Amino acid sequence: MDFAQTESQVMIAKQAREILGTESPTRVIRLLVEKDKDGYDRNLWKKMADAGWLGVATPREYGGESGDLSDLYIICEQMGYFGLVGPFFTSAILATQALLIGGNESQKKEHLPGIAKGESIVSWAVQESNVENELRLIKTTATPAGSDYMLDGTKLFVPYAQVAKYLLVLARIKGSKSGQGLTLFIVDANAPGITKELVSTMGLDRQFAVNLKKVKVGGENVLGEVGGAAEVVNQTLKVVTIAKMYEMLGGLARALEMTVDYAKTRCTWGQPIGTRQAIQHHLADVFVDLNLCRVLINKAAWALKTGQPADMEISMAKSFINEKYRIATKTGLQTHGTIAFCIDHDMSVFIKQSKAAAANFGSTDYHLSRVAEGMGL
Amino acid sequence: MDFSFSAKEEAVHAEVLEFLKENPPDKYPIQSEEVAWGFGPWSDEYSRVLGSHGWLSRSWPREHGGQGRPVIEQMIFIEEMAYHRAPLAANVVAMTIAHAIMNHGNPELRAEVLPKMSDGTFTAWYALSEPEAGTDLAAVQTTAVKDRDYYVINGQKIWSAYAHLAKYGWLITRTNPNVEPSRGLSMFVLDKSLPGITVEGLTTLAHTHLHNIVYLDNVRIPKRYLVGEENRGYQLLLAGLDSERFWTRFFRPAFEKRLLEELIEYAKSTHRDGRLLADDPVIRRKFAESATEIEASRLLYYELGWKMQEGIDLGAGVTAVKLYTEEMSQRFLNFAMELLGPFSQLEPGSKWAPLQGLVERWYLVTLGMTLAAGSSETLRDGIARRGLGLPRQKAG
Repeated sequence: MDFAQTESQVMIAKQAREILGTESPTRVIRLLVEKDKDGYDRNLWKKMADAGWLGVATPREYGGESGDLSDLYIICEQMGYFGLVGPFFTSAILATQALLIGGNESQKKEHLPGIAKGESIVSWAVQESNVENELRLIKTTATPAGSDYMLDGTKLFVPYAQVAKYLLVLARIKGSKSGQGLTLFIVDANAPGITKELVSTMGLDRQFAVNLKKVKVGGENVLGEVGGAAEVVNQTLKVVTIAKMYEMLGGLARALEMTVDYAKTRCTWGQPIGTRQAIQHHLADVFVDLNLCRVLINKAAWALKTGQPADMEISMAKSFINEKYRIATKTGLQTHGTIAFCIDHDMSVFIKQSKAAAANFGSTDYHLSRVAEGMGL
Repeated sequence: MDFSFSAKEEAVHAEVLEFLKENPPDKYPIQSEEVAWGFGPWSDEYSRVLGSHGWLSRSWPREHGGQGRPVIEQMIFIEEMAYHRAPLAANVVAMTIAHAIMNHGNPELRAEVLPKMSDGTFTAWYALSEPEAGTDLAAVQTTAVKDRDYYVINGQKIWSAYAHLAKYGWLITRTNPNVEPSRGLSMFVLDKSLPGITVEGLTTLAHTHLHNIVYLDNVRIPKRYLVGEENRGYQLLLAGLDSERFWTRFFRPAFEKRLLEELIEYAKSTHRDGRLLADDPVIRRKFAESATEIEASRLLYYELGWKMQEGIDLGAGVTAVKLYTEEMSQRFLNFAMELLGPFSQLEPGSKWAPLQGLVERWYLVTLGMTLAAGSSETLRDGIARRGLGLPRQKAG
């Protein structure tokens, strides 16, 4: 048993703080993100690309840093700490992992270097209106047309579709039997037949509904095997869910830290509110939660890294942190008082991100069902 | 980061399993109730078996007769004992005070007591709380007055779990009434066979004889049983707090894992109102939540055990995990009670009581656990101050 962080992790965390941390960073990040029409800070994006973050876990031969997934997770944790949103998650993690796991050599060489440099944003389009986790039920079709395919359907929760160069679209080969034919396609995000509709969300990120009408995709743009997408999607989601949990962990830690600082300075009846037992007890509970979330998430990361299925570990951790992050931000709000109810207050960022994060990559219900299954019930 | 056991650690695991096979706990007599919570029942005989196989002192430093084995290995051994419901109650307190005696006991005391701790014949109870001093332990009124080569003890202790079975007390007394309360306390090892000690049993609401009132009437303790310096007893206590809260609690998840497995079997084989319990989505969710909570507790304990091994400051970590584990245990046993439906209320002894009535018993026992070894409220105060640096409230 060993709970030490690697030198690389310690170094990256420090670097992340330097790059992301300026005075009142969350507020700065939020303002820049909201001001930009595409919803992300391009200066920061360039800094992240220059620091190698966008390809940190991508092998050097594809333009990356050949780092560990754990390096990627540390970056996510720091992003969560500063409440940062942007295309990093969808491009540097989701799409990158899907390409690494399922792509052939030429696809990796064509797409990964651009992602790592920050020049190309690749997003992913998997969910639909009635499908969250049961991929076999998706309705978007890919109709064979010679060596090409025509895609038809509507995808939901496609992050940063507006600035993406490519979309990884999950579709079913038309005419396939139920549960078969699931295929991932690398689609030009601006191909004829694609329309994008911004859906306003509670998290600060930009989500889209993407409509595909007879969108032509060449056969060479099938990611991996025809009909073999389920495996690629599932494996990708494991990494992504863990990354999201590290981001949540960072946010939880920040929510607690901000609140403790406030409790030490804000006074009522001549004393800091942090001297009052009720406040102390609420904050103590969040401290406990933070420690528990951390070990559960670390174990999930370790399980995946060592080649285990990691389903139980991931589901235990996500169901747990979904609730604890929410509670941490609720405690933060309660301690700050109504000032934190204002949209200009940084706590509002974490309050909303805690629920958006819980809604993505598996709700508490979904993950607890998986834990129950895994227990043999 | 590595959540697996190393080859050495796995070897210890295998050794424990072998030991349990060759020395099955249920072949040994017990002196307490069958259904003791968390540490198994009390067995003087099994305690000696553990001692004779060297299990009780393996992680002690070599200069005190131990093997200097790492903390994680000690955890593995005890976890496996707990999972098998082996009798450990007789050893728990001795394990936690061993280091205090090694570090602060005088040579005479160490020479007398350490071998007995190692061979399992030194069984102990915490003689700390009094009717007017529990959470505020510095307010103890039991006095120890120096009389040449002795200290004369007068007073009364309460709770004193297993004092009726243990041979020695870990006793805190007031040696100086003229200073701030926490600066006038001294710690002793109390030999229960000394004249003047009366133990009066109390019955818990779970019908168990756990607690006692201990009357100390002019008990003369030889001065070699003073641990550390006179009037420095409170500091000794504080220094040992993390150790106590860790070593007496960390195996609780293992104990609960065993119960969880039995409850899963129960749910998979029991129908109620026409439906298999294991098919009920609400019950499934509660099972999943319980399993997650138990796992979270276990992992945090291992992280802390590793930090102890590496000499890394634990901060408020042990306080945090103790707080969590007791409340989590209550939630878990509450779920278990609900799972058993109307049968949950049956006490051990009835043929209709599922799982031999253990759930009913343990549900009640867990209720006391958020009070023992630091109430949840006290622990939250401690986390706020030590873990978060929040200031104390000023009077007025």
